[in-house]
Amino acid sequence: MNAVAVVNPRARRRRILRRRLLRRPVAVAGMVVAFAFVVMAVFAPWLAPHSSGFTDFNHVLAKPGGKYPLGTDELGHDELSRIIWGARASMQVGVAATLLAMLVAVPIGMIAGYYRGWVDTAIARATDVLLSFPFVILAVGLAAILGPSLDNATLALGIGAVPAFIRIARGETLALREEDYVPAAIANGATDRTIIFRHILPNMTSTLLVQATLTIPGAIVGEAVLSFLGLGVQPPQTSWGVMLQTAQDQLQAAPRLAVFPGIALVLVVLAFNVFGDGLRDALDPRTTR
Amino acid sequence: MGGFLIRRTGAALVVLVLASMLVFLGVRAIPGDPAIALGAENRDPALLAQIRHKYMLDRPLPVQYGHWIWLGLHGDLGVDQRELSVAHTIVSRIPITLELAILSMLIATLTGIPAGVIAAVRRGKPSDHATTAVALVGLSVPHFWLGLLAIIWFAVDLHWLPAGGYVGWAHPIDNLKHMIMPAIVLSAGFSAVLMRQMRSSMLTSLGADYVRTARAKGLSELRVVGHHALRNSLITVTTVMGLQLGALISGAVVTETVFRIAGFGRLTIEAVNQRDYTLIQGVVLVAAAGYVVANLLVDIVYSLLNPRIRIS
Repeated sequence: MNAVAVVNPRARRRRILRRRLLRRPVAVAGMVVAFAFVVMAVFAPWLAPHSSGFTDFNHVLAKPGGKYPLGTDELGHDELSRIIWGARASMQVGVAATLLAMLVAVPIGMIAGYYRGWVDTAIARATDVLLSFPFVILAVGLAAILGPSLDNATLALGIGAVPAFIRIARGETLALREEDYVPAAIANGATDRTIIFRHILPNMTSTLLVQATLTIPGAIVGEAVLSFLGLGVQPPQTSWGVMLQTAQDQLQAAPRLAVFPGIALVLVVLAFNVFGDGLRDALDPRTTR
Repeated sequence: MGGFLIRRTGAALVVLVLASMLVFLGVRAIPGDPAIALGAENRDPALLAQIRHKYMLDRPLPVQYGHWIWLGLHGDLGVDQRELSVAHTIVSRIPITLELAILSMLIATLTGIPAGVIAAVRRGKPSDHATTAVALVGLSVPHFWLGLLAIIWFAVDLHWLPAGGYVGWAHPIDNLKHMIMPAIVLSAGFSAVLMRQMRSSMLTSLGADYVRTARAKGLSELRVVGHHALRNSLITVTTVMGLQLGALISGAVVTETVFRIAGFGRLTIEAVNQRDYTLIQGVVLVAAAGYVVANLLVDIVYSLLNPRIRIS
């Protein structure tokens, strides 16, 4: 039999990646916190002390402590429970908007990068224009046409994230199509579709993963902003943005109501950002560590 | 330069026409009969026909679009639900938002660029780590929450500044008192982006051959950093400013909501909440136009700073 140990290159790369990522304590901390929020969102019904609609009219605007660790709001909602339930809207939008953007953008970007020529020029121009388009204006337009809701906010945020993904997919494809395995595949009679999806796409998954990790926190903030403006989640459903919106009227009486959901928001965004940054550094062969 | 200007302006016009068509079709795609909405839910066929005729809703879409654009070019964007001129409302709100945007860009530039330069010059030293950490926080803390915190601290607790509202330029001191907190809040993210960009492009510049040459000539460190490295780094920063325009517009909408400033940004939200379609149509069109024009200006400034752009 073969005397040389056969090393699976993918498994080897994964092992190296894991080692490089674990050497970055901040990134690992980010990963752990982000994962904790995902768990919190998924298991909200079991973790939250009260249901999302629970109200205690006898303890309105209660101070933190005792029965309500973070106090209650002006309607007697338990603040802690609402923050745990609110994580659901955040995670749902973060993941759904990112997936939506990837599904739309990656094929477009790959077509632009693979075929080049006028298709590429047209797509690149359109991307440039859209790249910095104010997403709030987009969301305002969509909310006007389709009505304000969590799904339509997700749609707006997903569309907003499309240009960045197109750019990345295009850039990666431009570089990857020059690799030796592409002419090899052509010589084997592979079609364009096979080359794009079987040969180029798998080689850019790590780059896309990093971009996804950095898009999720953007979408999470986006959801909070839109719900805060009244263009996203509609009460009685809850989200951190909705909580901050209602807290606005209680800044004198109970400023803490405007503080807690914001801390949750910043924590989750920071966690995803440092995790994404760490992942990017770990994947980048130019960094030596 | 002339050819470049014409090409860029032409492209901007094309984008503007496409945007206006999108806005027009978007509002037409809203479910429900606009005639019923305009007639205050009165379903009398004769009245509806009269309304349709008055607002040209009985004509083909291209005719309606042409009419809308023709009036728009003459500064007439129709009237809203309260029979107020949409163009007039928009024009009265824009200066407030412009003041906010310019003030916050000023603050961001005055803080972000020096911070980035300092971080790059003192790379790896505590001041570098400190500014980099502050920038990361600036990027991760959403504007609107920062705004709420600022209100709690500076207005509710300390009573230093008003919690919100707007005072016109007739009272400059009062105006500034109302504007400074929103402007700082809006500038936070922008300042952080500028700092990070400035730091990385300064690091590139400081490692370049012409900086080594300048040092070899015996120029003072201040002159090397300030004159040679900084100038070349500013080019990349202009691009970043252009890319931040959209964020600035979105940020203005949010900041005006938090601080209850009746500017253009707040108007967009009011229009949607009131389901006032003429107003929405006008506001989104003006926002898109403002965005296109601002992008064009950035392109022109960029080409003035970097002559290579004009040739390619």
